[in-house]
Amino acid sequence: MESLFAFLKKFDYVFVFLLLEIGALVFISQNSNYQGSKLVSAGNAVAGRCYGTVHSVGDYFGLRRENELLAAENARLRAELESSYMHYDRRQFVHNDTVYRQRYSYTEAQVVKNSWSQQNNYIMINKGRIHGIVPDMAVISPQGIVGVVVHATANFATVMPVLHSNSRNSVKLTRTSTNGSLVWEGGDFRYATVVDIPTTYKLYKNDTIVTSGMANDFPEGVMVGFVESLSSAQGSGFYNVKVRLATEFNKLDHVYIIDNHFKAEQDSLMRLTQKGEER
Amino acid sequence: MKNLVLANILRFVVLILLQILLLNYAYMGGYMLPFLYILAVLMLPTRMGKVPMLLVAFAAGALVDIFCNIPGFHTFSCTLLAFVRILVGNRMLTRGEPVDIDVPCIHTVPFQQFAGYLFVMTLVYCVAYFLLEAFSFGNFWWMLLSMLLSTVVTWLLMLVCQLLLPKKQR
Repeated sequence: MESLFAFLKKFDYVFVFLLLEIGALVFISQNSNYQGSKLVSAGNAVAGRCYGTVHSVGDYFGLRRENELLAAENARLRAELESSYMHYDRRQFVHNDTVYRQRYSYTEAQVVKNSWSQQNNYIMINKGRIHGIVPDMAVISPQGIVGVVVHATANFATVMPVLHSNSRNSVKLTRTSTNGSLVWEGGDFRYATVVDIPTTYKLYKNDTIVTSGMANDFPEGVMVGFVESLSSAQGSGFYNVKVRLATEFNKLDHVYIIDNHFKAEQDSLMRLTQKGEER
Repeated sequence: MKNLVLANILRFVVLILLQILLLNYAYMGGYMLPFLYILAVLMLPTRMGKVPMLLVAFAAGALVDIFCNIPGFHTFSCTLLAFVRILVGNRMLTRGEPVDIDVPCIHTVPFQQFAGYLFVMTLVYCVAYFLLEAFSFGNFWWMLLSMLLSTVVTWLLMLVCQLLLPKKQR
């Protein structure tokens, strides 16, 4: 008996080792699914605040570039104002509340944590439930598409960017209006892939790709990127398009969260339709 | 003795901060990740208790995991690293002689021996880390390439850090 205790005492570190490793593995198995990650939410409160502080210092270094980006965006938005258009014909453009109802509204937020070198990246922003952010809202930057909100706590929210293996967004080519799906296969954060475009369409390098507006999340026409190169598997009939992303994911700072006011209605209609098919 | 404890705590904090705030943003073509913070475990005194060493490694890995939002990969790999260090690493440092090395570094251990020690330990870490990642994402060649390149990058970075150390620690 004594020798057993002596043995246990001599190799106590092995048991501690095994215990710690089992702990780590339980942690991994509980959090391996990004969508259900408890760590993301648990880390939000502590890590979010720390990163917020660090980021507020880092902000000063990017001010110049940020200003230029925002100024460029302001210019673009001004160009779209009604006052920037001249009426050519006699018909009057009547702005009528019964004709136009606001469909999308935008909330400005700042990125407090960002990653782009992993296989599955995520972004944390400094707006949460109390600012009206809920999962599934679309997120864009002044340059273009960013991703979709997956979790929101009171003050922070996490975003699944395009740079995630589960990310899938509906996009289209502006020139031909052909629809495809934007996915990311890992690797370089500057490029993503568009699949499901039939090879019967002719594509060219630098063709513009924007969001299609078919999914409920993104409005139509949000900038995605440009065609970089094309390939197609033999006999598949579909292109594998390499896309140069417009958004510089390593330099994200200000983003906008898009609230689709008709999402609830669209979703319930879709559910109704699917139920009808089952019957 | 007190200075030694303080120095180890300071090194731990500085390396973890460096890892969280700077190195996790180092982008190297998507293949390589420099894990410099494991130096905090590799430079612990050889006479340190086995259980405390495991706990320190666990804490280091857990901190990096929480701040990088990675589900336990660092925690697992870092604890494994400490275990391998207990089994083999200490013997590589002392060459089996009954001596204690307070600060295992380039000034207290012959260069070739120390570089070899760092390389083997880093390899253990990277293999564990990228195997875990591959179980979740599964791309074999990508994993193998990441494993090798990360090992080399981390190793070189650690050696550079060693060369920057002040000599008075001899």
